[in-house]
This record gives sequence, structure tokens and C-alpha cells, in this order.
Amino acid sequence: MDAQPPSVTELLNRARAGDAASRDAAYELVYSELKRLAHCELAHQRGATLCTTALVHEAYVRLSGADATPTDRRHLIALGARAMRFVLVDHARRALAQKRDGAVQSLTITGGAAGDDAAPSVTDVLALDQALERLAALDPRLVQVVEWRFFGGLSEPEIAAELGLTERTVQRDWRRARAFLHKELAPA
Amino acid sequence: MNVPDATRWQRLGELFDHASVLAGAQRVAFVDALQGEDAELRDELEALLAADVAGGLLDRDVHTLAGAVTQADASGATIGPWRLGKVIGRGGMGAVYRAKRADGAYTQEAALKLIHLGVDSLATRARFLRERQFLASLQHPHIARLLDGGVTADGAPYLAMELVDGERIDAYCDARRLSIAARLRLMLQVLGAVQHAHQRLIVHRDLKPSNILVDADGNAKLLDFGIATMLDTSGAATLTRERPLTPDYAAPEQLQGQPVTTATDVYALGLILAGLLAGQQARAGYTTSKPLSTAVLHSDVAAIAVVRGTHPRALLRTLRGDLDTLVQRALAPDPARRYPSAQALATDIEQWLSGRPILARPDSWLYRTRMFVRRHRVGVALSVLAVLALLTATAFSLQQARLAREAARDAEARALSLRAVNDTFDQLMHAEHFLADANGPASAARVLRENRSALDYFLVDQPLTRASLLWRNGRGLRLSGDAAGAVAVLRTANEAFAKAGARATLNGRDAALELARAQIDDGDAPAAATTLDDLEESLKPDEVNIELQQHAIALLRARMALTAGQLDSAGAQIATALALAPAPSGERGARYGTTALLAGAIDFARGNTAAAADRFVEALQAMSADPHAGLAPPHQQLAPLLETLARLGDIVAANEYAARWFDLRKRFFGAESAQVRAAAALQQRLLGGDVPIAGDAARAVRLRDALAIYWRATFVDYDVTRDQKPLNLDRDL
Repeated sequence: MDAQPPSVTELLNRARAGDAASRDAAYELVYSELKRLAHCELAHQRGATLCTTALVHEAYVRLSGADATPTDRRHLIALGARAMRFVLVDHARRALAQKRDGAVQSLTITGGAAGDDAAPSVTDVLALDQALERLAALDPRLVQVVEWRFFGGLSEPEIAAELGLTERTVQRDWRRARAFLHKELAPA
Repeated sequence: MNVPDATRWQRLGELFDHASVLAGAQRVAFVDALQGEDAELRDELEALLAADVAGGLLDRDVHTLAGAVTQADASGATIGPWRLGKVIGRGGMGAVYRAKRADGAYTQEAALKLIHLGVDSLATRARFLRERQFLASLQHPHIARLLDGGVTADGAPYLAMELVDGERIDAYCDARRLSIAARLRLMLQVLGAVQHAHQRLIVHRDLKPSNILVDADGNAKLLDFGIATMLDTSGAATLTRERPLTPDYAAPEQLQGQPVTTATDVYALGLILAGLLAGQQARAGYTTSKPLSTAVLHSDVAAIAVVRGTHPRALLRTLRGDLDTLVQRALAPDPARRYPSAQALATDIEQWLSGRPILARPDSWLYRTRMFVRRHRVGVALSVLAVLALLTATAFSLQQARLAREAARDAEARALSLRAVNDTFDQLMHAEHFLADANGPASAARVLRENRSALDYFLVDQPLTRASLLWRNGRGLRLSGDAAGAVAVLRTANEAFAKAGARATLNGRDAALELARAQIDDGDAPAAATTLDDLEESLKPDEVNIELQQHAIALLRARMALTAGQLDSAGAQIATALALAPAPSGERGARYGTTALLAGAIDFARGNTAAAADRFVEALQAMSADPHAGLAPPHQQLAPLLETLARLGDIVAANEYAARWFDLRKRFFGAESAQVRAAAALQQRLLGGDVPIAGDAARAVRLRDALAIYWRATFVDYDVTRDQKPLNLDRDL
């Protein structure tokens, strides 16, 4: 019976055998699972305890089984970080729409003690997303580093290892991207 | 456009890489030196470098962004059988929606709380659901019921609660210009509800006016009972950080991260009461040295008086005196000095409303307690708990409450509260003996004496609880060496059991036996004999556990006869006791052991060393085999036991154990106690060399080995680490 869709492991196996469509299907599946997980993650604000890496790992284990290749792993990490970014932006858009409707009178955000920098707002999240889009037009690799490091919670050595770059390069990329994004986000 | 194209960006990036690693002045020089580049590029570089130094969003954790975007609105969604309507409230933990049953089963409205906290594992999830069921059993006209709860597909816990249409209690009072008396009567509803929950070991932890609504008919309803605890129980580690603790209404111990008890709720109730009586400003201005009636003078007293249907002078007159004292007691920074329960506070409010003097006195025992605390730092932590347990039947730490709850959830709910209290108190009493302070038991005795009178005030409406606590109190006194004090308290306890018609209960019987023991300790054998005769007469043939009582009676009579030197009578009684003691196997070993020990002591007194030795070996083996015997040192019979060992020929081992016994007793009871004198007398006898040596090497080895095994199992922790294992002095009749 074809009623049962193929599992991710199966799709990944087929992908390794050279079937591009299967690969896309696998990542489609993984991505939606990751988004679901990231949504949960966000909804609970579990803080730094369960970072995106763990989330990715969870999806990785659950979806692909133990026989996934390092390439699969790299793609999954990329997808996890991307999913986190997507979900954040998605939440921010909805929250903003709600605020405009005036449905909620008091958006009290706890934490962010007085005296600290102001807590980031919904608009900050959207501005960051747009700035990342502008950066992508200039240098896609920098966006990848930002996604992996900031949204994905990977360390610089991990990123370097996964991307086959030197640690120094990753550090330089991060510093460039960070400066660019902060410049874009700074009030005019 | 300030965004460069890709090639410009490459160049810009290279320049940035160079400049960014330079220190301030060099950096400026580097940029200045870029004369060959166009001005726009230089500006862009400077902007990048400035941003590099300034930092921003990306230096934070991604989860701070998560915090910004998760205040989402789930209106219109369906959760379980509920369809969510508008948001009716928001808090640090999540949003509250007006919800309707969507499954068409029947029409019901609820306030649905959707919580932004993870339920991390299956186990914590199961616990959350169990806890929810427990809370759902909380039914009181002034508590908003928990209707339903669960976990959404996303894993977020939700709770559906009775929807209450009402006003915050303080706004309600002000809007209707309620008098002080009317406000106090409303407060009584609240206190009744809180007491109801406390008796079921449920603590609110977040009481504040916004959690108390009053409907149009004047009925107060408490919201969110047990929710804070429940969420904590569900293991959300981030809770304490993320939950705004409403610092305005938090008790000092809460802010210090100390254990939360029912007394914590009492503090919050005190603050709510202070606000109702004198207004928010006065409540905030209240300090221990500034009574409420003074604090109100520092706020807009005219306006405050108006909404209370009175004028300033009359308001001040009303507040001064008893109401000041009452608030002071409720807001004592030290939980032990607070009203021990919501009930106690309610009792005093009722006293005030009916024009009688309140029970709280401004300083008397408070002052004495403070002095006591100052004098006895060491014993205080435990003693305070003992006092709380004694006074309130409910006030103990949340942790204990939770454990008790988990352990007893399957058992009958009614028995739960009392048993938990008794167990707690038991533990405390035993722990008292382990205070590093040599005066541990003496301190305990003093605390017990000082606060016994409080039992007369606070539990008048709960005669059985009061009787049980009196019994525990008396037993505590006896164990700590105050036999005379114990006799007095235990007499009251027995009267209390009789008055409550509960003499024939297990606790009632124990109270009678305990009285006899205290009388024996007090040297009043005739009184003890009378107590035992009365007890025996009142036993009903079909009574549950009748052999238990008969056994205890025979054992005590045997002990008294032995002390009086009536060896034939002692022999007859111990034979009865042995017949009633279960076989010396496994878990029931302690009971047989204590019986056999006494039998051995009687044999010893009759000069029958061999028989005594055999009994002692049996006793020690039975007690070693009983995992529940715990630390049951054969205190009373250790002297004959060690003398038997000496007579059999092992005088060295006998001396060695006598010395250890002396040390233990000195630590437990203090150097001046009768117990230590008895141990010292034994040492003297053994060292004095007047012990007739029979010389029975085989028996000597058996007895010594049994004693060694027992001693190691019993005292090893204490000897080595002074560990806090409970000491079952009680088992030693």
C-alpha cells in the first residue's frame, strides 16, 4: 500500500543513492518537524537549557535514525537554525498584528531588569530578519554563519568543522556580519 | 543607499578585517590613511567599526528574542474541549482566556489559563496531571474550582478554572464604602477558604487582591489555588526565574528563597487585610516598628476614611489596639511568630467582631520566643518547625507537604492531614535528640512547654487534632526527659480523647500507654498502675489491635514489677507479654525484641545468667533483623545486658560498650541527666570488680557477637558522622 508516506530515513537513503527528489522530500519533512519543535521551544521559553543544537539533535535522531551521513547532519543543522529564525519571525509578525488590533492591553515582558539594556522587542526581531536578507544579497556565507551561531547555537569551532573552513575565517565572518547587522539595526 | 554592492562589500570587508583588530587610536589612523578610497566607503567603514564597538542584539542569547515574541494570542483556538475567547488577563506565566466548552456536551464557561512553560518529560507531565486531579478535588464555596487541565499538542500546560464574574476584593470594598467590620467579615470568607485548602496541604503562594474576586452577591472567590505549587511540582526549572513573584505580597522567607509554608500564605493574607483596613499606601508603609494606625496617618487618611464610611478620627480609634496587634501578628517577619494558620487569624478576627479580646498579645509570648531564639540558636531551626507543627496541624514546609501528598494521595484524604502532621512531628522529636547541642532534648522540652498552652487557643474547634497533638507533645516531653511535664500534658491529652469520644482509637490507646510510661519515668508507680488498670478495663473484646494494647500493658507491668523487685509478678507479666508478641521474624522484630530484652533483664535479676544471655541474644538478633527498628537502643536493659556479658566472662567487651553507652547518653541527655547517672553507675559496677564471673565462654561469644552486629547496624552512622537518623527511643519500653 502506498498510503504510508516513506520515512525520512528511507528518503535519505534514496537521496544518497542519487535521487534528488527524495532528498528534497526528506528535508521538507525534517524542516516541518523542526519548525514544530522550534514552536514548542519558543512557546515554553525554556531558556538556554535546551538550545537549538539540542533541538536539531532531537529531530536528527528522531527523523533520520543512526545511519545518516555527515552531510545529512550538516543539512539538518542548517535546517534547524533556519527553522528557529523562521519561527521567531513568524511569532513576531503575529504578535505585531495583534498589537495593532489592540487586542492586548498589557504586553508585560518579564525579565529584562531595569537598568539593563531594554529588552528586545517584536520589531527588533523583524528588523534583524530584514537586515539578514540584505546581507544575503551581499554575502550568503555570512548569513549562514549568523544563522548557525546565533539561531542554531553552534560554536565557532563547530561551524568551522562543519563548513570546512578555518576557525579564523569563521571568526572573521562572524565579526563582519555582526558589525553589518548592528549597523543596520542601529537607530538612524 | 547605504548598502554596498557585492564587490564593494568585499573591499569593505577586507578593510574592516584589518581595522577591527586595531586598538582605538591606531584604528582612527588606519581609517584616516585610506585616502585612496572614496569618501562613501570610508564612511561605511567607520559606521561598521562603530557598530562593532557598540554591539547589540546579536550579543544576546537568541532566547531573549524568544521572550519578545511569545506573548501570542491564542484566541479562537480550541484546546481540549474548550474554545478560547478573548484574553481576560495576562501574567508572567501566560495568558488567561474566557473559554466555552466546544464539544457541545453542555454549556459551560471557564477561565482558561494557557501557560508558557514546558512540561519537559513524560514523568513531569504525568505528575502535572496527577496534581491537577488533586487540585480538582478542592471544593469550597469560596474557591474557584479547577474544572479541567491538560497539555496542549505543543506541550504547553493549560488549566480551565471556574469563571468568576466579580471585582477585586479591594476595589469591591472601596466602591461600596464597606465599613471596617464588613471588610473583616469578607476577610473571614477568604480565611475560611484558605484554611480549607491548607488542611488539604495545598498552599496558594501567590495570594493578592487580584486573586480574590467578589461577586455581586458579596461572595468572595479565591483564584489560582495551588497553581503556583503545581507548576513548580511539574518541574519547570525556569519557573522561579520567570514567574514574577508579586514582590509586593511576598513574605520575607519567600524573598530569601526559604521554604514556603502555610505561614507564607498567612503573611500574604495579613498584607491583604492591612490593605483592606487602611488602604494600599498604609499597607506599603507598614513596618514592624510602625503599626498600621500610624502608617495610615502618613497616607491620605481622609480619603481612606471616606471609603470606609467613617471619618479619620473614628478610623484611627478603630485600628488602634487590637487590630494593630492582629496585623502585627499576621505580618511577623519570622514565620514562627506569625499566626500559625489562617484559622488562628480568623479566630482573632471573630473575637474582635464580637467585641471580645483577641488572643494575640502584642508582646508576651512573641517577646519570649524572640528571647528564646536568641538564647538557643542551635535548636531553633528544628524547634520552630516543631512549634509550627504543634500549633497549626498544617504549617509545614511545602516540600514536606508535597511528599506527604504524593505518598498519601491514594490513601483516604481525610486521614491524610493528621497523619502527615503526626509523622512530621515524630520526625522532629526524634531529630531533636540528635541536635549537636548537648542541650538538644532540654531545648525541645522547653519549646514544648512554652508553647503547649497555644494548643488551647488554636485548635479548640478540632478536638481530635488537638488531642493527638497534645499526646505527641507529651511524648516529646517524656522523650526529652521531662517526665513530670509529660504527665501533665498527657493527662490533658487523655481527657481530650475521652471528650472527643476517641479513647478506643489507636491514638487514644497510645495516649493512655504514654501516660503510664511518663508516670513510670516520673517515679509514680501507683499512678501508672491505675492508668494501666483503667486502660485494661476499657478495652473492648472486639477492639482492633487489642493484643497490641494487652501486650503493651503486660510489658509495662512487667517493667514496674522488676523495678519494684517483685520478680515473680514480673515473670508472670513477661510471660503474658511474650505470648502476645509476634514471632521474632523480619519486620516485626522490634516488638519481640523489646519484650525479650525485658525477659532477659528479669532472668538476670533472678540470677539466671544463662537464660538471660539467651534471651538477650534472641532480642538483639530480632531487632537487627527488623529494618524498621531503626535506632532502637536497648537503653533500659543495656545495664543488665552488659552485666550479663561481664558475668559470662567477657568483662573487656562489657566495659567497652558501657563506655560507649555512657557517651551516647551524655550526648543525648546532657551530663547532668538521670540517664547518664545510670550509665555511670553501670560503669562503676563493672570496674569495681564485684561482678560474679560465671565463665561461659560460648554464651559470652554469642552475646558479644549479637551485640556487635546490633550496635554496628544501629550506631555506626551516629558514631562516625553523627548522621541524622531517627532515634526510636520510643520503642524502648
